[in-house]
Amino acid sequence: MAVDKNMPILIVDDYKTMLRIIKNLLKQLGFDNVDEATDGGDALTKLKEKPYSLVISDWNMEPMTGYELLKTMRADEQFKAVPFVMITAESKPENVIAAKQAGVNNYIVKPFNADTLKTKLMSVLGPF
Amino acid sequence: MSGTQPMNMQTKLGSSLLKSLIQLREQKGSILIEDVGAILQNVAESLHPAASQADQFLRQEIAKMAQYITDARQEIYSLIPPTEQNGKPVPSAAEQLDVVIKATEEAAGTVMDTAEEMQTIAKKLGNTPEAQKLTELSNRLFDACSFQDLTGQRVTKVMRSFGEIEERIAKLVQLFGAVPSDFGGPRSNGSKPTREDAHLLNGPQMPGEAPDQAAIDALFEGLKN
Repeated sequence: MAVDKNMPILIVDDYKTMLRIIKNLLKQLGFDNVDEATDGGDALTKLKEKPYSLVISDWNMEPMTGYELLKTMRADEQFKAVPFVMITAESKPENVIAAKQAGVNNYIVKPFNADTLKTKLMSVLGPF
Repeated sequence: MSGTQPMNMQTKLGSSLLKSLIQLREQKGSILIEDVGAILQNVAESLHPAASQADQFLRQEIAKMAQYITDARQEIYSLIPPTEQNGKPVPSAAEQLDVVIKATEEAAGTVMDTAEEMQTIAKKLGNTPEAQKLTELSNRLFDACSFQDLTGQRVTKVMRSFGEIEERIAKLVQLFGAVPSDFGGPRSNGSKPTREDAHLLNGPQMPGEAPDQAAIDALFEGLKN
């Protein structure tokens, strides 16, 4: 099934620069329906207001981290199946293991480039 | 002088000190190190001038302890950064670093504005080599701007360390008792919530230490669901 590039995507990061970078990259890949949140709590609020097809989130945010957001989503029937990609500077093996065990669909370390984002998104959504 | 005399004097002094401390706690509710210093000073001065050599030695040692406490207080107070200079508030180290983050964010914003303009021009040029080159250049600018996120995280880590140090200094100041008149109190960010992933929040690793995406992919793919 072809990937719907109009799917609503939620990107979560406490740095405005990173939100802008990811949004621009998604736009170049053809994904224009992108909303932003500044931490896990803000993301949860938005998730309850609109059905997102993908969440791309940073880890290290306050007051709610991306890891906490992921765990909360996976524990909630409403959000447990929403694909979740972590984009983070946290690159230790224990981070990758913890995220995988919590149900993350893919893991990107910063700094990253457009090709990496595309490859990881395709592995989660299918080819586009 | 018998060997038991110095011991008796030490025991008497010990009892006297303990009694003074208990009385003080009953009066004030808590004992500050400043109070301990004052009691030691009184004890040293109360020893008879014609006391034995052992007592004189003890007096000197107690006086040294009292002086040590006074000196330590001065050193702790000297660590308190000024909150005001020439009538103007002095920003804390954390506040100054916050300015750095905001300044780099602004600079990255300007670069990205420029990159977006290039993308707009590239679109108008259609499917030409020039358009492709412009797009490639604008992507490179966006990639480079991710520095701001990583430097911001490193600076935030340093800011947190400064904040913790400032809190500890404030606690030491309170413990030592007399607070300087211009001391505005701890610049505390409030108590931190305990979180499940606290031990996983390390921020960016040093260049050369962080694994690349390929290593992360290998680990990720190798983990069972």
